[in-house]
Amino acid sequence: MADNPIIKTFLIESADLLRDMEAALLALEKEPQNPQMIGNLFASVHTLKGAAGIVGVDFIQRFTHDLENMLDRIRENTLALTGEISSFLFEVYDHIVHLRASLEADGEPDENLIAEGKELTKIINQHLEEPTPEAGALEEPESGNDRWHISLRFGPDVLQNGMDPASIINYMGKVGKVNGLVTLTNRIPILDKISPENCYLSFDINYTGADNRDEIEEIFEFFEDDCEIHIIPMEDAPAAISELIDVLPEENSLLESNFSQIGSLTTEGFEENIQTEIPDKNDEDTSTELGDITNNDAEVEKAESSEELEDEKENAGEKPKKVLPTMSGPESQTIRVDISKLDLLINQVGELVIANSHIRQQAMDSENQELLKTATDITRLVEEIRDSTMQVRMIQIGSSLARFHRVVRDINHNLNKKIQLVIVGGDTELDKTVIEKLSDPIMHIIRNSADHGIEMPEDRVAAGKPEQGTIQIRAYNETGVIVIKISDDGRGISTDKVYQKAVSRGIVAENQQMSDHEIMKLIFEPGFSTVSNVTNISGRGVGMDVVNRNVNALRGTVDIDSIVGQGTEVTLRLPLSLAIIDGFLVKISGRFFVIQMEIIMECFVLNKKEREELREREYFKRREEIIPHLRLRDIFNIPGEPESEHMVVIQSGDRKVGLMVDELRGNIQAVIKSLGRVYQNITGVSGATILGDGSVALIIDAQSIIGKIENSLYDVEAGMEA
Amino acid sequence: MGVSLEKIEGKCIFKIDDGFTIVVAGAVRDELAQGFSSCSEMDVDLSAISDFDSAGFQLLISMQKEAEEQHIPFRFLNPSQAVQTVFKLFHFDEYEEKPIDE
Repeated sequence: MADNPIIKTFLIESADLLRDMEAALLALEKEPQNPQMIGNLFASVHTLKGAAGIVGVDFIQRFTHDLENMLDRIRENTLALTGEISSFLFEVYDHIVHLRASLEADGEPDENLIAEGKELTKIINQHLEEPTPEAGALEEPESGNDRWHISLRFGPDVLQNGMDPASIINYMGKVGKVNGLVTLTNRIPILDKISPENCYLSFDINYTGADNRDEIEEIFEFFEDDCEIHIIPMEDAPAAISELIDVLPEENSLLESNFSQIGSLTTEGFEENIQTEIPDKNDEDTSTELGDITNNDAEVEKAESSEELEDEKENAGEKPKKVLPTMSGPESQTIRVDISKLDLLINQVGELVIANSHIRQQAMDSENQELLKTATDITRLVEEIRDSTMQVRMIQIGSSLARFHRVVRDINHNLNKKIQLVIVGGDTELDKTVIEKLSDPIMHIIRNSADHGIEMPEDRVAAGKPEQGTIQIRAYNETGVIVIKISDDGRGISTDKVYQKAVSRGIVAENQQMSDHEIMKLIFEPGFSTVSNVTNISGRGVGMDVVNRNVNALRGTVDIDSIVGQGTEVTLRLPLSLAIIDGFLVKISGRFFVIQMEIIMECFVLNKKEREELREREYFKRREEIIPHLRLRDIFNIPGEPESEHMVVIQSGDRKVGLMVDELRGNIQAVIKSLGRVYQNITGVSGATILGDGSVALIIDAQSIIGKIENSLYDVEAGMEA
Repeated sequence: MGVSLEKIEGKCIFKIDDGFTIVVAGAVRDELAQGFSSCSEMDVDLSAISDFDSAGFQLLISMQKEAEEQHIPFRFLNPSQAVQTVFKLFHFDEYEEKPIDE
């Protein structure tokens, strides 16, 4: 069902509308009288109903129709938005989400969903039957102002953009009455000239059903950019109708006939009108004859023959016409782009980066200065294109994090807790794919915090804490990575308990010496859970190891810190980009490696004495700082002894490490290629890249190397304590 | 989706099966265009169309115009329910309901 382009468009639009609806519901829970939020809620349901109707998703249209009536009463202040109704509306929202999901999966809701919908509709109707607080206070709806003439001239792209004029006309018939309609097929070319995916249809319609222009315009909201739309209240006819006839591209006589046929024009009214009414003209053109069309740009003489008119119709897009109120709104500042197009663009930019590095390499080898200068210029441009392309996929993390307000709200409701969610740094940007893949891990961490971390309100007060607990999500940029910290002010995690549980599950041996940090990391082991009561929210022991794995799959890391009685903090670190990085090339015995540029603090050559000293010690001193180090060749088991060595100091978070390499080879742009499943879990390497000469360089995974060093440091500390 | 063409003494009978929507509009157009030569008369059997939309409607009108240009008598016959729904919406009544061999 989701292959149908019209339905695809609806699914995208409805996702946005449901997000708006949920945001409004959450806001109204705190402020039930907020008129703007009530308006937003009504608008999102109203638009959803309209869209469903237009694309023919009747089961959603029917359900939201009744809901819209209920929300209208709330909006009109004839139904109070109590806490009970607010909770009920969340159930209704969930039901619509499920309806949408069933459309995406199977095209139709199953029996259970239908039954659920019937129950909810019953309750909605009960609310609708409740007497209004002040009987008779409602205004009578305006009558007699609800007949309209509508002329639609669809643009060529409307079908490709997912709209079908047949569905639109069908929907109009459902929400009102089509008194008369003429389909204009004059623009449809013959068979060997037609582009079947373009739209050539136009309609003139006499319509009853809306009290005001806004309601009519809402019907056409989804395709107002793809269609010329003229809406005229019949009370303004025949003057406005005759003006319209002059403006529309079809021959006047055809239009007059059509309009008469559908009841938008009576002969007497029209004749009367052309005697007395002269359309507004430009100031410099006061002597034109009736029927001429003029505007600021060009004059067009009325066609003398039908052949001329045919030609004009073919040039319909350029035909100058008077401007009547139409529906084109202000130009949009954003456009929707298929994510696959972005992915293709990024792949192509990646290939461009690789090809450019070939050119640069050859330019350097040639020693031709002119060529080298050009290659350098091109490299700069390629870098700019790369950065711009990467930027296109970056979206602010805040919009994805906002959904967790609902998660916390539900937990408050289900567990009788009081927890607030605070989001800091929502404008921090991250690659779209990374954000999407983080949703589940973050969800689980929040649920853990809410379920096991934050105490019941009375326990918190007894512990001298505020009754309301806080979960904070903080996002910010660090060198080369984005950091997301999820912290709570709950009861914290006891390392003793974790250790005991790990021993009882056989994850560690009894009496094994471990640092607090290492013990905390046991939480990420599969099957681990210290919770005695498994709730339906969390605690089945399948969560944190999956979180760890998902984050690692994004080349990120997870850390956890906790203080008993005070709270817990989970830190996610993720690379800013999945695709292309600025790297620094190093060499070890003929093999190339790439270190991410952003984490490099400094590089320096080691003299013989320093090299000997470093063999004996695991630390070195640099500018009064003690920094651990290791030789990359030892990590990767590369044999041999180099003639010279260099130190590259890298930093991740607050940890610095020195990496010893043979040679420093300079900056490169590295297009990250996956190592494939076989090599995915190799410590120390996160991917590979292809160099200018076609050889392969491995990309250093700084996090895992730093982790390795830390573990060996803790062993040293443990040894010292023992 | 299928377009079949039967020729009986110069009279061409097009039959369109299954879906006739924007999804297959391009392919159907190509098949229809190919079959147009050497027809002295043309009927289009719409009885087997299961799914129909504005794109399908446009192609039918395009065929009609092509036939007019070539001065070939042309009829739409026996629209299916799916086709009739759109015809009704568009207030289009230029079709006949009769057995094909008449």
